[in-house]
Amino acid sequence: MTLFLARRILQALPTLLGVMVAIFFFVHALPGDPARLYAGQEATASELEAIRSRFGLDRSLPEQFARYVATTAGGDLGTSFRSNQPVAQVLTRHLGPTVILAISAIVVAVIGGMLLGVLAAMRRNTWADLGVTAVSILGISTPSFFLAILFIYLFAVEWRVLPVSGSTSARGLVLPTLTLAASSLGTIARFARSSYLEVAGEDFVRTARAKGLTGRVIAGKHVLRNALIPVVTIVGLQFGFLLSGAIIVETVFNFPGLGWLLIQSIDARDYPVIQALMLVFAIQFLVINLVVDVVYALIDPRVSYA
Amino acid sequence: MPEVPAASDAQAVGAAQRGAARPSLLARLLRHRSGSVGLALSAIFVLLAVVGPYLTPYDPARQDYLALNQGASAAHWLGTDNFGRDILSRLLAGARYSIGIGLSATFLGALVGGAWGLWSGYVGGVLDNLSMRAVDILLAFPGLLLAIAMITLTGPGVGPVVLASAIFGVPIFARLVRGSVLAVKERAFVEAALGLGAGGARVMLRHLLPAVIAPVVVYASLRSGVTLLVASGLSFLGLGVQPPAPEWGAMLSDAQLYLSLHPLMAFAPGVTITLAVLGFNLLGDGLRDVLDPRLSGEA
Repeated sequence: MTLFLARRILQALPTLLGVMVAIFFFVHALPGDPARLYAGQEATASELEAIRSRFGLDRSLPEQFARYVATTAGGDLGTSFRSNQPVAQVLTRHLGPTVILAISAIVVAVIGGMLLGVLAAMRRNTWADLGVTAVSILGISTPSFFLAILFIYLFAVEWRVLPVSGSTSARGLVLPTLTLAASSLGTIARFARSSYLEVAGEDFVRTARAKGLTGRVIAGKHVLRNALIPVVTIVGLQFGFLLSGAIIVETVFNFPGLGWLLIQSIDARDYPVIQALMLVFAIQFLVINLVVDVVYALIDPRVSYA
Repeated sequence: MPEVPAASDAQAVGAAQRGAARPSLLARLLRHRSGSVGLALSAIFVLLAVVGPYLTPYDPARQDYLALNQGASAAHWLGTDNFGRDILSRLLAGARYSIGIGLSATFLGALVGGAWGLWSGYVGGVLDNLSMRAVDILLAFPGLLLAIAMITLTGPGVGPVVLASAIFGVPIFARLVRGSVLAVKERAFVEAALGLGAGGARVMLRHLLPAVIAPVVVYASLRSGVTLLVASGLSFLGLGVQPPAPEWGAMLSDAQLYLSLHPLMAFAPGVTITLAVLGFNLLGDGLRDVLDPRLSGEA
């Protein structure tokens, strides 16, 4: 298992390096002179020169890239143009809210999606099944920004039971969580339903039935457990999408997470922060894929570690 | 945002290859309950993108300061917005932006990604390996982030939104087509063409392309809904089509300020986008079900 883990991490490293090359060229392609952006419009030519040499902007591209990799690996992500604080410090401040939001949304999506999916599968071709299918496809098709506005209208404007958010308090977390969870909940419900139905049709379930086991035992012990395996992959993928889906949801709700920070930084042309955020989002994605692979190997004995 | 899982992609692909030869695809789709709804909805929205701007009861840009923020009425079926512009007219005129951008971005992503995968699978070897690592790198960025990064480079506007919404489909289509090419490449007719002295371009376009195009079409219909969500999302964030153009995401964004006063201004474009995305999603699901009954939830 340790070997499997080590190998998977090694495999992800070239991709990570490629991601850094991509981000590096992205930043170089950005419009505007970075030294000018940092120094402001009134800076003199000699001041600009000083800034260029301080940030290594006068070196060759390979040298600049090596410098970028070295400083990033050392945890130095540069300085925010906007707030003049170290980027790492800015990110840390906004990381917490995003993680809390993503985790609460995935919990809602997994519990809700599994319950609805299994319910639909057990009551196949009934009104309950049709209802779940309709809710899932609507959850997937409704744009998160519209769902957010709908929730704000209902809960904050009409019924006045919840705040419009903008805060990380428990009450402020409810609407962003529900909005962010909706699409994943729909996807997970659909997937759980088809996975359950597929497993329920397999030979070993018929064997269990033939042995005289009750429906409840079969459903819980035989079907559900095996139906969970493919759902894990989907949950992992969905978690990755939640982190980026948070860009829109956080912006609508004015929720101070990384997605909100990204949009603010783009408005302010705060390139060091944008650059760091792209790296953080990509690393999150790579790590999640890694974790999904590992969890998959753990719960499915057929997957070998080799 | 929802992503079609890889396993079902592969199944849809295989199914598409088998199913494409049968002529009764449309007939079977029409018999599929939700698929036929999806087909009808998608057809209506595509039609609106073409003729919508000619059907507007009012000039979508005309401001009427004597009729601000009105509710639904006989004169204005969906009311007016904060500038007194007729909302129905703006939705009709905006179909060209929203649907047009969504579909052309899907098409562009399929075209570029398809060409990439076709070439990569055909040349094989080290080049193929390198190009697939590039695909991995693109896939490491969440789709919306890639789109936003693109817009940061180009600035907002219609063209940039098309490019940005297309770019995150590129690696997915590249991987899909490359997989199909690898399977087809070893078949006798390709070897025969090569043996007869056909050049690379000829083999790719005349022999490989027709053999792998069907799954691309199916997958493109599945992607249209997601692309529409991303494109209108960009405009909603203010990074896409700029006001006063009546793009639906931008209209919804404008309506936020008036939510408590005039909710219809937000609901009208919101429901419209939802219906369009729903249509494309149902169509894609229906196509996949019809082409591979094993995956069908309605069998």
